[in-house]
Amino acid sequence: MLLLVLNIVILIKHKENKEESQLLFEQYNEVSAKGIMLKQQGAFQQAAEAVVLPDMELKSPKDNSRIKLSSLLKDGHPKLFFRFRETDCDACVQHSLDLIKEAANRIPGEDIIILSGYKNVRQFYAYTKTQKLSTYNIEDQSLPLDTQEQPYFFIIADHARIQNVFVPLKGDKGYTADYLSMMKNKYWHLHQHHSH
Amino acid sequence: MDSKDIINIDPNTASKVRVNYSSWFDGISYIPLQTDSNFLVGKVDKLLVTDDYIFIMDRKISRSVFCMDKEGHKVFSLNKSGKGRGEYVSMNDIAFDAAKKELIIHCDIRKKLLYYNMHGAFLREESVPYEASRTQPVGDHLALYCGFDDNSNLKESGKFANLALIGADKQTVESAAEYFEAPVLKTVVWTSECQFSQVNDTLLSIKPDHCNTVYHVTPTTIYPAYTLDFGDYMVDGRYWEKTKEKNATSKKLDAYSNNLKLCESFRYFEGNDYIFFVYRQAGVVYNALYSKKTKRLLHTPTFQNDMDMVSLFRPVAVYRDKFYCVLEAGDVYRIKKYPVNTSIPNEIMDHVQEFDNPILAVFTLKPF
Repeated sequence: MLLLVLNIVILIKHKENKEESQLLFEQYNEVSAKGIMLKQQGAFQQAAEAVVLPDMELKSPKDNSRIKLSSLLKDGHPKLFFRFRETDCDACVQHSLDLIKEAANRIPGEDIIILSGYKNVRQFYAYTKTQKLSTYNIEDQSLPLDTQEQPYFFIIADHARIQNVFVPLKGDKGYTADYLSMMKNKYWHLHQHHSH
Repeated sequence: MDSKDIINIDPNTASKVRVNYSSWFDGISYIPLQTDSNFLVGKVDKLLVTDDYIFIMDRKISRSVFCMDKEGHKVFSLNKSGKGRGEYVSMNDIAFDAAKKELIIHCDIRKKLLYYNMHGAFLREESVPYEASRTQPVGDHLALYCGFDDNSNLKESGKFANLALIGADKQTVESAAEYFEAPVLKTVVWTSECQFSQVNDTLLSIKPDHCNTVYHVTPTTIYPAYTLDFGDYMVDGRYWEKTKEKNATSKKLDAYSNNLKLCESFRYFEGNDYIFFVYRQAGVVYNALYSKKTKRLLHTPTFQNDMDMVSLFRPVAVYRDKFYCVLEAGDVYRIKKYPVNTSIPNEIMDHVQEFDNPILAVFTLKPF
């Protein structure tokens, strides 16, 4: 009888250990995948800093018109850009857009610009129907930073020079929220007069 | 399961030459979807064809559902993206309750089913406390396809259920199937976003990813209906062992599958008499059609469109054995510039604009 009880206890312990090691293994995989992503993104962010954007044509959702990038920058205020393309990780795009909407309470709406990359103009219009933020499409050209095939944020505060490039991490909303909060403090804390 | 339920597939017997569309299909008909500035489809993430309506789910771009009649005329569109009552944060599936004439949207973040009438007005919502990639009513029950997520409330004997049949209360699990050992990250195993086919009012069909079994779901049970038998090239325990390795990624798993020539099947659609699916072996993708009546299989890695020159036979829905494919209006518009002999009717060719909503190309099979 004692032997039987002992065996049952050993079996239960074995099952618990197995479940624990499976959990540890899953956690290890998750952390290690995040580490690899962070390394790649760090290199990308470093390479992208201070790149000067060409004065490209952007498609406006209004009246099928086109405007130049420089016309968005002429007021001299810093601008937060979010760039995504239709092929980018949807979860990253969605969580970033949700956080931008929240940030629009703290960063003046006119200083936030979404640059979408839809090849099909109908898709761009379908997208802008759902958006309140300023959204422009870049149809034929790629930005110098598009090679990563991931959505990203950047700031332009000095001519067309890209600064503070940030790539959202899939499944980590907090990381993006921290970035937006830091950018708000860095560029807009002295610009309260812009706030709505 | 007896032998009549096994579909034998040997890639070596696939057609070696390009198959002309005209040898497989009787014809292609077209449904241009109405376009106006308030009715713009971003992307067709799911197409649902019913007796009276066509529904399109556009999850990412417009985050809307579009409803049309069977000629493609607008009935209503619905964008209820949000966190309030009657709104979805992440729409991951749509279904139609033909008996009650209600559109059902599943929000996987809020774990809710949202019901709307055929004017797009919100009716009610119900909680579904399970992770699910697909949800489909069957009778007064609900079928769930759960993928390989961590669905701990569907765990039984240490394993997780991939498919479940939930009772009318939307809580009780009445049947479950296709158990797997442990949740797998989406970065490790790819997903084809497989979906339920509605074979009739009380029968659904689905083939989960990374398995070779087709399941049928009725209002009372889930049971294996067919095995897609690739002989020595079945995705089996070897594949799942590989997912457990350190730093496993979908790329590494693909390379492993390709090396062993394992066959992955996906994009499975089942009609009353015919089944369509795609399988991939060593990087080559084969289209397959199976007749349930004659047990014959047609399969080929390459097609030649000798009918309209522009439609791709890539079904996104099946309805009464007709296979529905999406044709971009821009592709049709562009061929207008060239002297191409196409079977697309003039009334479509004359009116199509580059950025119109998609056109549905409906393929009718030659009986085989």
